[in-house]
Amino acid sequence: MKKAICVGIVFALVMISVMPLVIGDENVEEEQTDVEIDEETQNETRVIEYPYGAEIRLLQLQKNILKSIIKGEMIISVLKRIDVNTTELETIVAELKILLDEVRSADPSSPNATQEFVDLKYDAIELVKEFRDTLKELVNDEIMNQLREMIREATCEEAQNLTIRIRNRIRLYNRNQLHRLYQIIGETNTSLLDEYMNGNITREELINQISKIINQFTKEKRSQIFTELKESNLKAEIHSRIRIEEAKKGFHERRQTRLNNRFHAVQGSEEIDPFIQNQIQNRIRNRLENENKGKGGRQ
Amino acid sequence: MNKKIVTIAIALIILACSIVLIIKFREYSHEEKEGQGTEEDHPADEIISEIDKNLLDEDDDIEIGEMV
Repeated sequence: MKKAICVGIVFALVMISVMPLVIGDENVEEEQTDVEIDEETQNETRVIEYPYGAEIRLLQLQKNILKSIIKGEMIISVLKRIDVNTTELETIVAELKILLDEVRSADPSSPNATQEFVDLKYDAIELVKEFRDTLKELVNDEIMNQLREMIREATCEEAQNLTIRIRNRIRLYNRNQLHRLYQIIGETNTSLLDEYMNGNITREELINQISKIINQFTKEKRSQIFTELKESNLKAEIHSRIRIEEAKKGFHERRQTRLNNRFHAVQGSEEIDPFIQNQIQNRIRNRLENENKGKGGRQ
Repeated sequence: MNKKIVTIAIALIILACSIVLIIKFREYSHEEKEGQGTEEDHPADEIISEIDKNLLDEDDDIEIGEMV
């Protein structure tokens, strides 16, 4: 009898200790029903916490999509010359163009800027991958290598202008960040920052000068500056993580809405050939069906 | 007889745990006393690296993959 009680107690203890793990696993499964955002994208969204950050990310996305479109069009024109059926590739490029318009009209000052950036970036990644996979099925390795070489440096005036605009915004963003440091250290002479903004000194030179200023401070003052910076960075990090979590929620639903909007937007578009319009709608319909199947599986 | 052995074993485990806890507590209090009154020094490099975390390279870019 005593033995039975002992075994019972041990069993109960084991069950109690294992229970949190089981419950924990269930929670993880629930969380996994939405999308996983890769670490690179998570790092990229950090700057969105600060002025100009969202604008920089959306401009970079715009530039990358634009370059992909140019490269895609170059590839299509080459393949047409050697009688390869490019319908699928043309459809993907046409969809990339619709996506580019969406990125152009995204609002960087929106409180949902992180969410919008993540959604649109993932759409771009998916379309670029689909193009790459389709191309792989159409041509052999030798042609692939030739195409790769041909499009390596492909760009256009608009993409070059975007590069200049992004560089300018990055300077403004960096200036703002360093101005934040100036406020913490109580420095009022902003001539160095202006020199950096005008392109007279590099970021490294500016940092060196600031470093010299900081080294003149007392140990206590440096400690206070360090603590304040650390605190503010930590706050930004927490905000960024919250925004990422928010972006994860409803990712698939938002994607469905975007696909539905694209489905209707493409209809009657003067810029897209009617045959390609039809192809895009078929692709969107298939993806919506897959999304719904996935949703069924996730529930 | 068995009961006695189990009791002695448990008592020894409790004793060992108590000794470890006392030693750890003493070490912790000693470290805390040493840290009191002295401000940690943060050289400019450390401060710059904190601000550097939020700065961007002028050639900074994002990746969406290659078409080929």
